[in-house]
Amino acid sequence: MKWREYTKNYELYLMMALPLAYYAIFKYWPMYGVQIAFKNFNMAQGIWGSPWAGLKYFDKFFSYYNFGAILGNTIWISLYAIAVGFFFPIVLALLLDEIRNLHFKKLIQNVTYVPHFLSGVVVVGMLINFTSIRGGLFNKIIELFGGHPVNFMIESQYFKTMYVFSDLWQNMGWSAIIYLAALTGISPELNEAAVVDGASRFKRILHVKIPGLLPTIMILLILRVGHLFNIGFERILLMQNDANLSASDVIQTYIYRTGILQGDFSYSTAVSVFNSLANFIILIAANYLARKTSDSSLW
Amino acid sequence: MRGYLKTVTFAALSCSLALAAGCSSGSDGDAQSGSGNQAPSGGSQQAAAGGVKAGGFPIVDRPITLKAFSRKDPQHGEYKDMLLWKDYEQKSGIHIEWDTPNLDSATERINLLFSTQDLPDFILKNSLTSSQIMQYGSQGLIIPLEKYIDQYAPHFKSLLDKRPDIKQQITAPDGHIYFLPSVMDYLPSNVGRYPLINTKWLSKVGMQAPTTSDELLKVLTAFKTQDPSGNGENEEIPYSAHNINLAFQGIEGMFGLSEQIANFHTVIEDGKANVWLDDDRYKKALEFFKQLYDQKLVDQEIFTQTDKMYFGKLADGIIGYTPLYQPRNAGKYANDYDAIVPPKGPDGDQVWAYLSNGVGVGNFMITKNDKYPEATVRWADYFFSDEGATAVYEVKEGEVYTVAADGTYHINEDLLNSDSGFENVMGAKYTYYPGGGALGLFTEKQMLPTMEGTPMPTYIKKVQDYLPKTVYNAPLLEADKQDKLTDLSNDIGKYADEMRAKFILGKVSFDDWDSYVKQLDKMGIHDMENILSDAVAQK
Repeated sequence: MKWREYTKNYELYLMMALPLAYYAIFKYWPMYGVQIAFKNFNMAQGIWGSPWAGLKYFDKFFSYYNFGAILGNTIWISLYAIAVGFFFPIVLALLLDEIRNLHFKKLIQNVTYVPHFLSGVVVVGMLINFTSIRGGLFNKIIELFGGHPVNFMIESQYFKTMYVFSDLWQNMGWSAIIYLAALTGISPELNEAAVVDGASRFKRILHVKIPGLLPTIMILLILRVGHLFNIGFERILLMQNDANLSASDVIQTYIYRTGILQGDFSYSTAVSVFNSLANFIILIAANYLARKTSDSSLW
Repeated sequence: MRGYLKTVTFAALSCSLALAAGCSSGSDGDAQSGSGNQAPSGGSQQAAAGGVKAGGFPIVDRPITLKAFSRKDPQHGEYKDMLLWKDYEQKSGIHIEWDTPNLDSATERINLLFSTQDLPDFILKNSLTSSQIMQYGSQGLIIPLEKYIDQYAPHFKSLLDKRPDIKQQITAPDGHIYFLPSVMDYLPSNVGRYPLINTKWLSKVGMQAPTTSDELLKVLTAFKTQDPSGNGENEEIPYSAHNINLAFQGIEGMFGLSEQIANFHTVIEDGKANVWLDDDRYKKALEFFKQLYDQKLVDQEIFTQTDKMYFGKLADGIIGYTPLYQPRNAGKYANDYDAIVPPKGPDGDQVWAYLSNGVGVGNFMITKNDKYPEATVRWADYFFSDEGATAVYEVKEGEVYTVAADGTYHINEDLLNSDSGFENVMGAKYTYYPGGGALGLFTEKQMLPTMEGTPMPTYIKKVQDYLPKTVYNAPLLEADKQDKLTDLSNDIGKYADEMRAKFILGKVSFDDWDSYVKQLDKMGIHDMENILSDAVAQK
């Protein structure tokens, strides 16, 4: 009876098996290793055999002298990146949607999303060259207008802005694609009705398109907020130096230093667990808020 | 630059370290059986199976294959293509499978190999630090070598008999010897950098080589303001170095500071280790450096400079004074530079702080996976013989060098003067020593030929009276002390680096020096000094 239903649709279950296996192998099985956050991990004794250490490593992290600073940097960079990196792609998508000339539209779209395919290393390399105090593009421009050259990479107050806007430059076009798709999903009748009612272009954007985009925006925002503590680690690491460290040291670069470079796996796993827990809690909170205040939520 | 490749390889891991740790779970079983602190007890029988011979070549009766880990420095080609290894494979009968990640990602890779128990048979080229060696040694992942040395390492053993200080330095507190060192028995090669000044510029601005910090300031100012390159542009960089660490090291000696324990910013005074990061002399040195920086006499890119950028500037001939090992690195401007006597500081201090003690750490380790430790030790011991050491630096008679009538070696001129750089040519095709850390005992006989045609051997006369008396390697300590020291030095080092940048850039005023010192005190700089003092006292 029930079994028949399974066998009848076996192709579907077979297709589902692959993603299930992916999650089991790459997401759930590694969680076995999370226990070393609570153990004195000893490579010779392995994960299971290492002696328990209790919350020692969490203690160590919370009493780390720079704990407040790296937590603060992580949150601020992330919020800044969300504010900027979320707003502009929506604007770009709305503007692109208004362009009548199809060729021009495609051109702009391509130009804005090509940088997405550059690796972070290349983007940081470009950034370092452009901001160089010895004849970098930005400083040439500043000097052209009579200003004094600024050594951007070592001025910690510029770090977050450089990080966020280089990220925006790289990913704006790519992020806009999903909104463009959502815009085509809005029923043309709504738009036509608005035209008949005499709504200007701006009014149509405000009252037809943005409400139409809102569910997509909410879902993406919730997902993004769920990664609040995970930021573009590699670019931050590449942009980091002694002089901007006070603005650029984040939880993930700290994990990299202690875990991979110094081989202190238990400690860095503990920090990582803290990171994931914080993300998890924020995701739940964001989803709860979204459900309370609007119709769209993850679950 | 450090980080480009690092990042690429690391990208896959960046989301979760738990993932990396998870990989090791599969090998828990044999990890446990291999734990414990001694080499496999059946070692000699196993080796008998491998057919190791007590002396002579080949080392083994029938060919064996070993897996080796080393790092690939920027000068290197593929290890398997290097003539040194091809020749030695024929001689020894031991084939090596190389795993050689780039310098930038070597630390990462070796840590991951250990954590996943995917170990090579042996490890070359100081790929492990003192603390890692102690950690892995105490866990039984790398094996003690002392019981093999008597029988299978005659050259190394005779070195230890002659130089008991080396034995002391490489013996861990538990009495074991976990690694064989690289021994550089030639002073000019142990001075990592020389104070090189652009003599053309000096005569252009009509000044003598500076002998004091004041004169240095004047000379550098003249370099900055008088356009010594004569092209009408203000592109001159009076003082530069690879990075901020090396740049500062070139200044600190004038204030009586040096690096007497590698990597710990420490001087030894009255038998006690003084980590001088909270010292008034350090404050003075910082103030001097800030003065240089504010007047744009120090490279303004010093905090972000990569090696590549630095060498680019050298090749453009725009640097006036710099701590540098090889003037060859300045390309066509190489002959413009000459070493000076290190300038004297305001309080009469005159130290040249770039000295390493000549005995490397972790240049050769055998892991518990090695089925033929005896043969592997014999393989390594060859490099402590004259012939083996020469094979590392001069590789092959005829092809790379010739022997003169007086017995001295001479490297072929087309290699020495190669357009792509001597060390690049050697590293690409012949040998792995470029980048440092090669295993063996090296003396003037091997080192002098590599300096042929450069004034390098004369540089040492300028600095030899001003070098620190003794220089120690980072100590080998018991596991808990080692952990403590690593934690302390990581946190303190990072904080001090950050504060150094802030003081120099004026982000923090020297009025706040006291709170900086207090913070160091709170972070345990004195505990660190005590651990280091104990270690020095035991030497």
